[in-house]
Amino acid sequence: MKVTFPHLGSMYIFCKAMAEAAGIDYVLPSPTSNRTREIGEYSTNESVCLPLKIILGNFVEALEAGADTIVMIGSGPPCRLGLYDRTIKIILKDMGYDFRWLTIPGMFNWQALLQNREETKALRSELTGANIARFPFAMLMGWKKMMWCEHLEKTAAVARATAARPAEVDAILAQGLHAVDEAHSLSALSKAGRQAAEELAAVRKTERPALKVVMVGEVYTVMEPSINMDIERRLGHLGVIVERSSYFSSHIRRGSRLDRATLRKRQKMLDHARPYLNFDVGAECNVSVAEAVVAVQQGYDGVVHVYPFSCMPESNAASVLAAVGTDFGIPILPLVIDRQEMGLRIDTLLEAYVDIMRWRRQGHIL
Amino acid sequence: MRVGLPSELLSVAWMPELKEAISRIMPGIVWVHAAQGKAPRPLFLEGDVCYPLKTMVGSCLALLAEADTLLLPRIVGLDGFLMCPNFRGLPDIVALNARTIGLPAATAIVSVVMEVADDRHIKILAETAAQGLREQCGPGNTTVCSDGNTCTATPPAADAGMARDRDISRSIALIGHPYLLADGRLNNGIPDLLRASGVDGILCTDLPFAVLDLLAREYDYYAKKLYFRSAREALGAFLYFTRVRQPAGIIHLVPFNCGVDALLRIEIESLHKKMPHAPPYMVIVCDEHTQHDHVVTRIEAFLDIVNEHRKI
Repeated sequence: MKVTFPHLGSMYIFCKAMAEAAGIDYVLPSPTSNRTREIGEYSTNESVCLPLKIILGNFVEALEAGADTIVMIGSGPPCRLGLYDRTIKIILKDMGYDFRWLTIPGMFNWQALLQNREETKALRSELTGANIARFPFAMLMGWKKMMWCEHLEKTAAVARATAARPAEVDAILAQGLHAVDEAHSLSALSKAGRQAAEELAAVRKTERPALKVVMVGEVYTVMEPSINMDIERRLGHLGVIVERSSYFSSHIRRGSRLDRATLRKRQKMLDHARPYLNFDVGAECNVSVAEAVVAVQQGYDGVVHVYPFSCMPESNAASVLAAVGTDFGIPILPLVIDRQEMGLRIDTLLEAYVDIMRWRRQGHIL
Repeated sequence: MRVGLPSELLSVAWMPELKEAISRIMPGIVWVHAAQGKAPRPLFLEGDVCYPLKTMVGSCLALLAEADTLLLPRIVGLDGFLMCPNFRGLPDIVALNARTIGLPAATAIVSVVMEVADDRHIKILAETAAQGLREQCGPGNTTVCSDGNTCTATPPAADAGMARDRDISRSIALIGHPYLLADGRLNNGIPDLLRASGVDGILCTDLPFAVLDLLAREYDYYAKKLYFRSAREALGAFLYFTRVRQPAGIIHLVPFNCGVDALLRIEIESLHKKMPHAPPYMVIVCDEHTQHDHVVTRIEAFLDIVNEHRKI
């Protein structure tokens, strides 16, 4: 059995840690590239959203590299992500691939549990007692690594915006994530994480006041830098702190429904969208709007809204966010992500956006 | 009282029943489905939303300017399955645009959450909607108006066009969202084109949903059931027209950028490839383009294929 999983930000470190700690063979998909995207595009149609195309490309590349078992994240309605596994399985079978499939339920209910039981039937027979016995530790190791990754990413987002040499922050973050990825014990993990955090804190700073934006939108495009044109890093280099609420751990907490505080916080957050949306449109739509309203209240300089072309909930959010921007006079940058070779134009766009925010802060634009 | 209800929604399942139930409670209502004036241009409507949603927002804004109030149900679920997220956000998007354009305040829209599975739900929903309409206009305003632009086009009752004894072997089946099949603005006039070519077009909306749902159920897998109603309708219709009664060909009408159909097309195309004796199947993506010739060319080519296929 050789398992594989899609790329989603630093999620691969979590998945790798789980597989390694449990003693299960795995194939890490190649980093998402133009080829990955093209595989997805050629095998689907124009209205399929980019996350599906990329995930499909990740799986094809992993199967070509010897994987035989695909582990996919699930979701519930009304987002299409809840049907991705159904569709991707059809495409891969039509392409002639032989594989086994396991969906990690996005929502834990009876149907999901029965499906999980069915899908793991064959896999369970291949797991040894040792594999199963190591699972609790594997879960702990995976979770701890994920928490360190997210902590480092959040710290880097702040450090980058004020650093004298932002590229130094990128290098420390990359090294830190690599060290976290390579750690094989909890003590080694803590040491690696702490060291990277200390290095980030020690980076030489400038006196330039940083701008602050919140990045909202569809989960996959917010979390995957190869899809969102690395917007977080690019804005950081221009002196902007990018905050986001979408992290892998927050979605696990919410999906498992075990953390009541997270659910309460989300419900409270949705109330902020009320003046604009009186019903939960689905997926992250209302959260995107709510986070933008909260950003206004908390004095943020702008909102970056990223979502894939043809995303139904987020295109509703985009319409509403345009009204939020008009009502509060806050600059909102919508980025609809699809196959586009923006090259250096993305930097020009971001520079103009940052200029607008700086002028606004200085009182030049009301 | 003149109550606006956009014509696009009339073809959605349960909507005629809702309208009728409200009319029984408030006989003074004059329904207005199409505005006389031009639709104002919405200010807040993302450019990449699907064409039917753009059209519906436009129709609602135009109706707001002409009717006393607008009934715009928030269609969440029908027959136990979900509608696409755009229907959930539609009343809010319309209200936002109305407020900004300077049309009557957002309170002129009566929006009830529509989750309907049977007549009992319709009755409750109609009472709620009627209450909202009364509050909106006040008891004194519920008088009959004589100059209403009432709708005469009522969608056919389920199964009306698909009687068992009807020979459909020379017909072309059209599958897709009900509003797409019913509205010439949204479907590029394809049903008319077929008629003009002497071909009998049959619609999947002529089949009862229960029949289509039963067929679509075969491909459900625990949590992986098609939870969008329109997807079940289209998949069920495809299976009906390939397994139960075969027409000469099947045309699947899809709105550009429809998230639901984007996935469903993959599934249907895959099924069609594996069916040795299935009738020819074609997808036409409908958009707001104005050039008509390419649609005509595609229909002509498809009919040629259908004719050749029948010879085989």
